[in-house]
Amino acid sequence: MDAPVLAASVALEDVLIVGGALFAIGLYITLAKRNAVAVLMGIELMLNAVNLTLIAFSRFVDFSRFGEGTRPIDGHVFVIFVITVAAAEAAVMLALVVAVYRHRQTIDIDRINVLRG
Amino acid sequence: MLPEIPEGVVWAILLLPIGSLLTIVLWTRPNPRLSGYVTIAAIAGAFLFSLWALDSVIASDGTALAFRSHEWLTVGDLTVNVGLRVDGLTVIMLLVVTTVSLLVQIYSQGYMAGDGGYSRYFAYMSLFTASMLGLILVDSILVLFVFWELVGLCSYLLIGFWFHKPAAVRAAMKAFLVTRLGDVGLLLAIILIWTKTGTFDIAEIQELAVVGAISVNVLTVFALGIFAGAVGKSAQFPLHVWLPDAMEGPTPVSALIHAATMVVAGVYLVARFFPVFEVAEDAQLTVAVVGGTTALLAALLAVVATDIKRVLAYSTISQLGYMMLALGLGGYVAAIFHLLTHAFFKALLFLGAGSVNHATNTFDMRRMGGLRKMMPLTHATFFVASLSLAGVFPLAGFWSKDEILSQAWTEQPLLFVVAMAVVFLTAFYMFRAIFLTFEGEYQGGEAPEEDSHGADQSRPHESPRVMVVPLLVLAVPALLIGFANVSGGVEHLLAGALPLEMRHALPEFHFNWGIALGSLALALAGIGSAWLFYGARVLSAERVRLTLRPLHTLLERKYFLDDLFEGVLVRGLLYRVGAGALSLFDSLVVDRVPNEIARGLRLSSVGLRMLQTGQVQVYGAMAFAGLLLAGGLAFLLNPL
Amino acid sequence: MSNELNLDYSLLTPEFCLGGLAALILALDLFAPRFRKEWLPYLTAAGLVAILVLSLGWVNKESDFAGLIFIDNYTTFFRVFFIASTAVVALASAHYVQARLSNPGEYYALLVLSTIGAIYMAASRELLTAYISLELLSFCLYVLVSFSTSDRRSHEGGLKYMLLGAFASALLLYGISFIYGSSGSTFYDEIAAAYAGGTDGFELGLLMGLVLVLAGLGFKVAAVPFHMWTPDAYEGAPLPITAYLSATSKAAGFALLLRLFSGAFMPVRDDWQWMIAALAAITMVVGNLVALQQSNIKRLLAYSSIGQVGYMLMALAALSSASASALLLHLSGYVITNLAAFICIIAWYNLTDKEEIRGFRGMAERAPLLAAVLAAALFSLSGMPLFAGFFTKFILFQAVASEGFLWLAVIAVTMSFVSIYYYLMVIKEMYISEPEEPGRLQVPVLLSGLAVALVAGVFYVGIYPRHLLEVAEEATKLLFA
Repeated sequence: MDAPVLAASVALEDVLIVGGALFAIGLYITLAKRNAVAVLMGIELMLNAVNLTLIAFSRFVDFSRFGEGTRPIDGHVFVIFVITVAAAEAAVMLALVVAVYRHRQTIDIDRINVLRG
Repeated sequence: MLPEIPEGVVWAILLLPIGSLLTIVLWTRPNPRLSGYVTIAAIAGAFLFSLWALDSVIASDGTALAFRSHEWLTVGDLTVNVGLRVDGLTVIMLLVVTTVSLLVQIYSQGYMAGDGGYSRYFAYMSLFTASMLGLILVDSILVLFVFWELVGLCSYLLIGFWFHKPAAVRAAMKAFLVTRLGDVGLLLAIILIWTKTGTFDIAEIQELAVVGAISVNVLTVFALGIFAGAVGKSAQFPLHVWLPDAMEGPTPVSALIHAATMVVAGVYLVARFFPVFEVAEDAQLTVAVVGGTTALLAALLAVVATDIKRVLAYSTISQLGYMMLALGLGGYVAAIFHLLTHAFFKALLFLGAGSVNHATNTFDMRRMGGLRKMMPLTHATFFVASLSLAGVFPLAGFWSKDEILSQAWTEQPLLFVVAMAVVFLTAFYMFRAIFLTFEGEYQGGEAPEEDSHGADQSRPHESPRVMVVPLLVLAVPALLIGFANVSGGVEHLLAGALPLEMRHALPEFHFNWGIALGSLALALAGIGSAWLFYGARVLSAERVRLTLRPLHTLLERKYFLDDLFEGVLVRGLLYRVGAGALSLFDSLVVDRVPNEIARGLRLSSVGLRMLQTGQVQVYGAMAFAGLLLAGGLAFLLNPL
Repeated sequence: MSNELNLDYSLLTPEFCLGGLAALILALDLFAPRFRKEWLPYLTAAGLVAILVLSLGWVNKESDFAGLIFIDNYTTFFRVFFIASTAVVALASAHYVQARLSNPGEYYALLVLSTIGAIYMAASRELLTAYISLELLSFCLYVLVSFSTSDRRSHEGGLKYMLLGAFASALLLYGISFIYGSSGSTFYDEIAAAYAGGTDGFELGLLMGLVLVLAGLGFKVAAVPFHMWTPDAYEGAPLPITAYLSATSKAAGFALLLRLFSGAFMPVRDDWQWMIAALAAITMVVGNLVALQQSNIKRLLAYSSIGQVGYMLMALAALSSASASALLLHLSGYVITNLAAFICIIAWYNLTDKEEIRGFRGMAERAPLLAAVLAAALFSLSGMPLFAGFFTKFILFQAVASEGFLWLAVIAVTMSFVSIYYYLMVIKEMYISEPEEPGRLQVPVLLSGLAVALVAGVFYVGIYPRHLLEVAEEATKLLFA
């Protein structure tokens, strides 16, 4: 592999573990925080963990079967799109949170539970 | 001699009632009289064509006429064909269905006169007749299932015909659900047989079963599935609970659907797959035992019922059990022959009950009495039919019952005893009904409801001619049709419907003087005891009831089966798996199950529903738990 | 990956037209004050029908756009399918939107835009494209579900739907990243090729990827235990959107799943088959059992749709060309039936403001046609012969059983028996109970016409499913080529 010396000391597993940890933290926030905006931030964190994982794979996976010297940038492209979608998601979500707040004067999602059963 | 019937004409048998249905829906709905005539004309046409079919099948010795099956759709290797199978069994069923249906339609003109839903009634009746004819005509078990469900749907619609009566609606629902419970088995049997053989063709399945191309285990499961469907449709123990309640429907409906045609569809189905049952002996024994049990239990229930239609309903269940018993003991011919005779006299009995109701506005026998002089024709025909049902020589019922009895005698002594007991009980309850209804003093009947279809007379009198004529016509086969098999004519026809290998293996029927005389004696004894209790009133039924109080309670509560079904099965089982309050049954059973238990069950039942807390993070956590579970399993199953 | 990409934009014409239609609707709404707003649904429907006819031009053609989007019979099938169901929903919304919602322009524009997402979900053969299409559809739906400003349930349903949807997207993406890592590509065919060469050394990544992808997509199609947003979103959403959710969003999820699993994951079938089978079994059971206790018609249909998802997942577990075409057939029959049911419910709600099952009392007297159509639709959903539900289900169960999943078919048959209870409960209210208020209701011709047309479709599929089945076979043939 023709990677720079510095990067070579970081193995794929290391990055994946960081990504996994980040994802787990995001998951925890999503499921535990009661403030809708905080939940949104948890989801953003999960998405960023995904981005990290994608970049790591894009960097380390053996692409030799696509031909010598080719290194598709699918992973990177994917990340760009995920960031974009995440931004759109945040926009829609915040708009919804504002709308809910107007109706009920709260964004505590434990108390938004008229629909059930 | 007519030429052989072309395929198109057989299709016409099926299409004529459909035509009348469409005519009514699209055109004659605002004109009730016309709707009735259209239906009668269509069914009369079907009847005539059925006679032609009978003629052709007699000419072919009962074997199936050579009609090609038409491809209807193909998916990969799944091919569904639609074709007709006209053989000895089919024509006998055709004859039963068209004759009874025709007479019932004519009768209905009088019985339903003035009812607001007159056109709707005849539309349903047309649909029912078409579906029933389809059920017996098709050659593919899948298409048969389609018609099977359709007759169930029609039964639902017709039981609930007076949908402003809550009892009728409950009964309709009960009938629909209980019969569909059996259909689960039937559908699974169809899927099973297709995965094993790749065909839906009835003749082909029979053939494969007979030559041993399917393993006996598969056949047994298949046969039990088929029988499950039959148990539901033919109201066999323990799924018989729907039939007595189904009497809430109009009486001609009871006569047609719940006595002569739809309920015998189960018997027909088992008979159709008789070769399969012959191979799968365990399944066949099950049929016999269930049939025998049903025959006895239902006959006992008929003894205590006070509603004339319910007496007849239990009697129907009991007689259907008789047919199943015969089938289970290998008496294929005996069963179908009994089906044939039973259809006529039982339809006659129901129509007679309807005629009585027309005059008195009640079905409660304790409110009747003394009707013999007021309604001589109704009485005469009812009497003939009862004698026939009781099995008195030389009426129709005698001959067919005798065949079943001799079959039981040679095969299963224990079940023979059961069958003989039923003979006595049958005679007893029928004549109990006759003495209560037609003898003694008139007990006043009941005042007509405002929307009742009965005439508003103060004193009962004979029903209009349009109702009496069908009674008289039906009395003829009830008297005479038993002779059809004296020379083995029916047997010959029916044997032709079986695969070649089986035709000769059919047991030979011998008239057995001992059994004939014994059963006749028992029948007469039954009639005699009924006379002692209810005719001459030498013995007091009241005193017997007191002595046998526990037994009587057991019978009055119908062996607690309704409680079992609704209380234990529905409440217990469904609730426990978390299904919870079926508001459908709430109204039925809340008063019966102690409130405390009900509340406890209800609390424990909400189970799954409680998880839906309305809190979004609980949803997420649930999903995550599921995810962890799936992930954990994945890694367990794939050791890395 | 080839360097000569096919960048023939004409392949995407129908979607460009859909985008144009959405823009036109928005523009008319914003800039043409004299345009009568009540014409918007008709304009939308007319435009959709025109595009539908246009997209028929790709029948039996096979091509791809840059290897990302495949235009084949499968895509064409779903193009027609989605555009048609959107048109029906647009028409069904006409009275409802006018009376109860503000901003009709945005409503119809979002409806049309979401169709593009649904179509590309079926068409894409690359994970990123599939993901983007999925989000396009989802975002439109998030907004549409929370569109009502007067009903407080609407925002709540929307917020829950969105939170769980975003959560599911994160799971899905994380799964995709593992699939990408283990196979080195995001193109379905290359993934399949990579897995066919063996998964040694990356079994862990593959399994994590499969589990997460399945969970993420399980959310979108509402498979138990990822289903819990469904009843809340269904109840909160404006009624026509509930119909749309139950039709398009579900079908799009399955279109994506089918192409993904047949295209990319076939070589590792053993790893996921049991997962989907288990998911199918539990989905059927939970959906049908919980439905028994519902008192709101929207929630009832939500749970009933979860039960239906179980049947459809079964076909995915027993993936074969027969079960794929059976799935498409069942999906079509189900959507037609469900739309028929919802049209009746919408019409009834428009006239009486009632959506509790109790509120349907006496419908047979007050609106006999609606009651008859609704009864037919419910009978069809419960699998009565003559109606679409019986044959589509039967063929589906049959296909599943012959792939060796007889036990799943047994559960399915039993559960569809259970389902009769709750459908009959509704029918009982309509036909038996006395109406709460007297008087015949005047149902708009548009809605009764739609209802009758759809119920005719229900009977057509139920009695003579041959044509639809042939189309479905034609559409799925390529998936297994």
